[in-house]
Amino acid sequence: MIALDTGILIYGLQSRRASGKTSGDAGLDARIARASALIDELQSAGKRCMIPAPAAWEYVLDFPMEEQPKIWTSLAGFAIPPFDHAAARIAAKLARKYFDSVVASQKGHGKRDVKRQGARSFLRVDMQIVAIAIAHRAEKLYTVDVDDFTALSAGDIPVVGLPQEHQKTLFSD
Amino acid sequence: MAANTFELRLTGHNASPERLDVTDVYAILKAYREALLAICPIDSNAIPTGPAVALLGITKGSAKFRIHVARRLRPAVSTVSRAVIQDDFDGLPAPARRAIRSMVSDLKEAGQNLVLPPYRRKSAVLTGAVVIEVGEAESYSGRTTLYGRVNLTGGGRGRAELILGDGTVVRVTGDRAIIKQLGSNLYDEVGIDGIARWDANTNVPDRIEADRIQVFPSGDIGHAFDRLAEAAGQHWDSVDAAEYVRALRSDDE
Repeated sequence: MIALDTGILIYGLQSRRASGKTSGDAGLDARIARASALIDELQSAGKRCMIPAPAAWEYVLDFPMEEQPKIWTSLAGFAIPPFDHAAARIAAKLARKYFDSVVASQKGHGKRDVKRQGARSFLRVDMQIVAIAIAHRAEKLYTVDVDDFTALSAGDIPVVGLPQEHQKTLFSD
Repeated sequence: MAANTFELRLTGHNASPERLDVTDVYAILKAYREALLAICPIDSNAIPTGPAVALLGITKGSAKFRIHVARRLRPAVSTVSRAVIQDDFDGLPAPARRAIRSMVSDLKEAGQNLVLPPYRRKSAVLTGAVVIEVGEAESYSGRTTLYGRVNLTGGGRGRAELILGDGTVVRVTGDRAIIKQLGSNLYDEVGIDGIARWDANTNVPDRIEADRIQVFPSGDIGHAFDRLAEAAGQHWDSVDAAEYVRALRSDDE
């Protein structure tokens, strides 16, 4: 099973609506096309995907409350693993590693910087998503934020971005 | 020192080839292999001559399994037999203790014993009565949902395994209705709600007591995205997902 971050989920569904249409933003159109290539590869490999619960939350919260039940139902084709006991343990360990690396790279600033890093929203959500993907034994984690996720994961799971549109790298022989 | 080739023999209730269920035999041999590899960790791929533990055959008319182990595993064979004879498992690594405890549990359930290779000419018989402490600190439990492919349902006592995305095998227990439902989803990917147990050192789950099965709607990942797109309508049109996520995760006002 493959884990998807919020951004990949959205680009993926946009690719199913696009069908030749363009948004007027060449960069966005390119990312949507690459998401389409990713779905094609996952489809041909017979892979199912998981959306870690915090990523699913980020996806659904943008919809008005009255639409949210329908949106949750539309996620039924994806696994939504929770931030459970194992994920909490993994997140704690990875956060410690990350903080230590921050301290090592910012000599003299010490714990104050660690606390500031720890308070940042991106770290809390990203860390939970990474930890859930590891705890639930995903093969890979796809994200639009490869650099941050790679730093947080400490090599415990392959972190990858969208493939190039015509690039067959994922499961091709 | 144990020989490279030896026999494992099941005795007791239904311990004859025509009465044994392949899933039960598989569980016992697999756990034995895990115990050996936990005691003498080796990379199976590094052995050019064959698998680390090979099943050479079954002696006709009996439940004797001819086993061949890689040379580097021979000390582990002796170690397991010695621990069984002395009824002292404390010195074994935790994964080995867990594997042997799993064998004991299976033997107890089946009313069988497993005759291992002798150690210093003493007979080593693993029975369902053996008590092996694994230690509370080495595993932990909690409620979760695990996702994977259902495997090896059924058999003599109704067993199931869940194969997770990376190949991790999780044993599934539950009441008869749950196991029956898993049987009807054999080889399908499902979610299992329940109480899982994880290895405290690796955070890898090895067991889940299931109380609910989640079945995915039919269709592949393309259909899953189609359903998402249909429900979302125009909501995400022209939205750059990377920007959306960045804004959500930023602390900037």
